[in-house]
Amino acid sequence: MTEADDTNRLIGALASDLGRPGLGIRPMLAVAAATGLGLALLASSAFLADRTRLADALHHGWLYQKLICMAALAAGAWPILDDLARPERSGPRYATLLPALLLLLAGAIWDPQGVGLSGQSVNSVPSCLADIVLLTLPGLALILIGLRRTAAPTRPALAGAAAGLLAGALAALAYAFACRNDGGLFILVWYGAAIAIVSGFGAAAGRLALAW
Amino acid sequence: MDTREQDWASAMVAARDGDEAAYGRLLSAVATSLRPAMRTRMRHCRLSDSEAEDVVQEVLIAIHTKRRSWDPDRAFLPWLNAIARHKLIDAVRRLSRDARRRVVLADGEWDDLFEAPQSAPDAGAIDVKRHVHALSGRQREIVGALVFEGVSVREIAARLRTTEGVVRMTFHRALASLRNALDPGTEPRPRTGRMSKRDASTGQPS
Repeated sequence: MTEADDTNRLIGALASDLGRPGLGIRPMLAVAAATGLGLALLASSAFLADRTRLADALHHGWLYQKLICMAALAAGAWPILDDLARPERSGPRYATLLPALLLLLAGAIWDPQGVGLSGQSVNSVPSCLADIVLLTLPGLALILIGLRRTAAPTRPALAGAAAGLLAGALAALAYAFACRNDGGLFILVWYGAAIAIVSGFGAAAGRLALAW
Repeated sequence: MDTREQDWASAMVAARDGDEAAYGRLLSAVATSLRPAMRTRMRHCRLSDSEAEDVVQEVLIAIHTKRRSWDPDRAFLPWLNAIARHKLIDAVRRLSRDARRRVVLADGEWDDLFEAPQSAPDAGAIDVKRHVHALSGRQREIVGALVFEGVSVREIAARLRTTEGVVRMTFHRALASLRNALDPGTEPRPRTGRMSKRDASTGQPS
């Protein structure tokens, strides 16, 4: 039997394996990210939120700065992850992160709270870091599972990092409702650090799980 | 040739809707198109045509398992090329690594040694004997015993009251001199594998 015959038999097998169409990359990412955000909001309101403070915060508007920054970060991470999930070499659109970065910087410079880097209590930094990281994990897992099924990244570690960035930004968004530390500098440094940590997890997981 | 993008993209869309026949035709067309390109590239890396076919098959499998990563809003050929490229790079890395690990037992060296240069096909046999005679005493003795008499390395070592390793080394040096003498133009080739006992005793006089 010639090699071409072998290949023809393979083609026959693949054709009969066609099955039903599944989700594409974008719908899958949307479902995974939305579910991750939902879970983070649930966990955040169940375990972390101080209700009286929340009502205060909504009233006074300083919560919105955090929400807008994190939403901008997630919106910037989305196209980057979309690019990295595909094998074609359209270099990821890193510029989409600029608005978020500018907002974060502006918030840090013109911080109305004067809360400063160490937050409102001794526990602020470690608990903020730990909480955001924990809130990210379910969403990150869902996004990675979805990528494994639908994506073909030629740079799997980088794709995993982008997944961590998106999941982390959404988790931080959920956390912002509960977090007592509103300072612009605090958000830039500590929310940023937490998101960097989960991006690292995502990169490690990506290298293992997304290669093909 | 220019209609490949449209034809293949619409076949892929049909495949998404479950059209197995269209999908099969698409994969065949892709294989036919990829095969010569793969062969060329594999030859550059000193890999064979059958290894090229393996890579073609791997590309087809990757197209199948990663078919959901193609967005119908985007062009098909860039996606296809990216997948093929990724698999080719993978395969070349893997196959080259394996090839380097295979021991190169220089069989060819034995054949070439007694092969006369193209210009004087008849002179070969006579040349060799003459050159063997021109070797130093011990070298001549060892070559004569190993090659012309078919004595084993162990016996020679015993006969000359030396070790098998020394016998082999002397034989190597003798071959190098013979090679130089028979064809002064060629570079002495570096030894890549150990001379086995079997090899030494199957040398044939030309």
